[in-house]
Amino acid sequence: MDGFRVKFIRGLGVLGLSASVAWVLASAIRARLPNYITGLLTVVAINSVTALGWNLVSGFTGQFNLGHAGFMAAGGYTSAILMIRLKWPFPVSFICGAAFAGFLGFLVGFPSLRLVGDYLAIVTLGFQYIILAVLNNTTPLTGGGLGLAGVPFRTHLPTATLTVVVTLWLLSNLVRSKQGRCFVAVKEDEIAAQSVGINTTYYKVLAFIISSMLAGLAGSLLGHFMMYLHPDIFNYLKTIESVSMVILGGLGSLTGSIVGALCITLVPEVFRNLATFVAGFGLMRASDFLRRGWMVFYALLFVVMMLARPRGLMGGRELTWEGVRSFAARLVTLRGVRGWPSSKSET
Amino acid sequence: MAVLEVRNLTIRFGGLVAVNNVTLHVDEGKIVGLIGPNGAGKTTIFNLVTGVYNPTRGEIHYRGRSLVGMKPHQVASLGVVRTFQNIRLFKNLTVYENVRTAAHMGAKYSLLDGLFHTPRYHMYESEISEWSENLLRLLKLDARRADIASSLPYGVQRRLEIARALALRPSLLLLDEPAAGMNPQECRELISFIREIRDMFGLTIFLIEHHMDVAMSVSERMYVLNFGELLAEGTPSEIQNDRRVIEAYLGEEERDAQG
Ligand SMILES: Nc1ncnc2c1ncn2[C@@H]1O[C@H](COP(=O)(O)OP(=O)(O)OP(=O)(O)O)[C@@H](O)[C@H]1O
Ligand SMILES: [Mg+2]
Repeated sequence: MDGFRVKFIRGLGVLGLSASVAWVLASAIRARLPNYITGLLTVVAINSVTALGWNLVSGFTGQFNLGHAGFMAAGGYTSAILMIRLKWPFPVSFICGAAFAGFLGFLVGFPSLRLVGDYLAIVTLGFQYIILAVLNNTTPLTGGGLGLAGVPFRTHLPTATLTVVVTLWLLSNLVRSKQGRCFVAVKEDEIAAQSVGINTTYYKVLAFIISSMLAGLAGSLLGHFMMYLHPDIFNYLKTIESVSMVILGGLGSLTGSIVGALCITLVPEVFRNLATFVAGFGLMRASDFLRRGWMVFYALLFVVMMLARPRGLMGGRELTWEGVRSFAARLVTLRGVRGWPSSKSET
Repeated sequence: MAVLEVRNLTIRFGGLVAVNNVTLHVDEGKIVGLIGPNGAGKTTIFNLVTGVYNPTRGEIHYRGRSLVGMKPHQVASLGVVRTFQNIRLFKNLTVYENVRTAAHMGAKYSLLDGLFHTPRYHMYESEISEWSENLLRLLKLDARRADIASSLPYGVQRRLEIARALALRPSLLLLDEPAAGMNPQECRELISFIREIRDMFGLTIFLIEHHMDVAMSVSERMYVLNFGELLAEGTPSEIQNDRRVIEAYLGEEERDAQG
């Protein structure tokens, strides 16, 4: 038992250490770098949490969920309203937002996870529209189509980064536990999973609830970052954004989701800045092209990736320290880099 | 003592009575065969026992407990575990991961233990990883432990599916045509393999076999099914000399020859 306790404490140590490092780094960035950069990184962090949530239910468990933005909205509005109207402190509102999104996840997931494939996608998409309809028609409470202004600013970069680190730690533990293996078994073959005693409905609902809670957390972070909420923020494009991040990073790779969030968040910004930069030289045509044409690049990025790395940048594997080190070593010795860093320790 | 008792089992699919009034029992520690021509209803009996279908009529008792109305995962967790006629592995996972995933029932920890990797998590995980390793060694799969299941040769896939079933520490193992697609040499190996695992794990085995000769040599007791009805039961030698059985099989061969 002692050895097991040591492992447990070591795990907590890893969390404590990475959380502290992340906090210190994020605080330093916030203090030293321009607000623009800090803000951008905050958005990357928020998107990472969203993507991680979607990856759990769709990448690991194989249940195609198109209602992710609906759960974000639920979390975001709950947390904002609790703070504005009831003056609850941020941490409590934040947790309540996630809990409410998780509860909705349970309500939606329980009946609909008996459906498979396209049907599940349609039902979850429908759920997301219901959420928007509710938000648009409860003006006294949510501000309706006018939006909800005056959401207190609470999502500093360190807060957002800390959320990512804790989420990543918990999820990477989860996917390496029996629960995580059962999620994957459900994705692989439901009938086979049942035949080895896996209660597939339970694990699907569980993945769905955890995923919606993460969406709720991210929605709440977003609201307290933008200081404003509007139903249109949470339309289906928001879901598609998470889908793109996860597919780009690789279905079933947690670190991949973060890489995906980073790329998808930064690509439009890079183009916007490039356009401004080019305009500075008086090249208005080129600037205009960059400003409007980045969507083409965006699409191309996906086409190229689907051809070159159909399983995503991380190919379903995880980014680990050993992986990075051996990758760097191979780069240095110029022995050619054949694959992306991989982890063999994952079982 | 009968581990499995099936009484007057009937199931209809629309107008088709796939299994009709079947009564059979499987005794502790025995290897019992279920044979019959194509479409006789053999797989359907397995599906009924494992909770995939609900019977129209009849009873199924496992160690005195009724299985009717249970879900497949509940039946499996009671210790009645099956394999499939068309192998169903977790195709994109490795050999080791297939077995380890199926060993989840030995990991008696909660969601919180899984999220925080508590000492409890580590204790059960080390137990099930040891169990999975042992199983791979016993079934001679350890050389292939890191191979992706779908890349394995057919015979090894069959063995892996059995290993995965054994990971649950079942007491009754249901094998659906384990010899399908195997050549005579592989069939002989399979026969001794089935006896071996029965002795090694103290199992009771109920198996479906399409090939008479394989079924004859591995089973200690047999049931013959034809058009959903029980045609005969007895020891292999009794079955071999049963006129109705010979007719059913000859009839099938004639049909095959004509078709
Ligand atoms: N879900 C179902 N719906 C309708 N008919 C079914 C269903 N499952 C099985 N059947 C029918 O029941 C009959 C028995 O099928 P079953 O698969 O049990 O045969 P079997 O004895 O296993 O044959 P084989 O040797 O070909 O595997 C067949 O006629 C089959 O078409
Ligand atoms: Mg069959």
